[in-house]
Amino acid sequence: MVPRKTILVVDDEHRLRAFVRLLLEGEGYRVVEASSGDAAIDILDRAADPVDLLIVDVVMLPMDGFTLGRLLAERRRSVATLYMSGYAMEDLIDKFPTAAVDGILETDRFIHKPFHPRSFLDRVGLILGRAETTLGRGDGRDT
Amino acid sequence: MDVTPDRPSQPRREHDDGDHRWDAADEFDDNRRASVPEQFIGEVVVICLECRRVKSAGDDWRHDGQNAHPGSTLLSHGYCPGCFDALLATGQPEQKG
Repeated sequence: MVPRKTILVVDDEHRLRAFVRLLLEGEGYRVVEASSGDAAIDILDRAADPVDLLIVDVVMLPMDGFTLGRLLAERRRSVATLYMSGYAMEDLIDKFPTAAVDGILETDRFIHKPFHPRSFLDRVGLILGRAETTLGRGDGRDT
Repeated sequence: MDVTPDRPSQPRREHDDGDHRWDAADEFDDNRRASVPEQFIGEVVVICLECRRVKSAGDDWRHDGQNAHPGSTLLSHGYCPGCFDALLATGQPEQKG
């Protein structure tokens, strides 16, 4: 039996999280929610089972989504990540130039809100599939 | 002579016996403060993805006028109660643009 993938959804807007949870659970994923970057770090530190994918809103206070991704990478806790924002990619590059320079803003790791459920789920599947392939090559997952 | 900062620049190690999470978290404090571009700090406005109403105190959402969000304001996007209900009823958001 294929284990259910666990996805951590980080967004400061509870209705957005609820919508995303609904979509993901409908596809059989296990969903954990965090309302901030700090809460996400806390959850990742406590998680008994690995989190397979992080879905992170970009604009949050006090810690934005890009900073969360960077901090996790610095702690060797890199998790496959899908960033989401109501801003278009070009606007985010303008507002968060460091993230663009760091290569965080790759098109296939970003989805623009509002998104069509199918597009969103396809993107999630793509990233999880890629992460699985990477693991299969023996790259391993930092825990 | 170095001036001792209010908090250590390196994470404390006294809880390395497996309960070091909070010390490690301290390491992030400076990063957290620097995360959101400086010009936007305190200027995040929550706006509905569908109707563009702006969230004010509590869960009150209002239309805020066309020029209420200058370039220095960062928008956080969510759903107001009415649009969220509609979203759940239809199963998908309106696609704008």
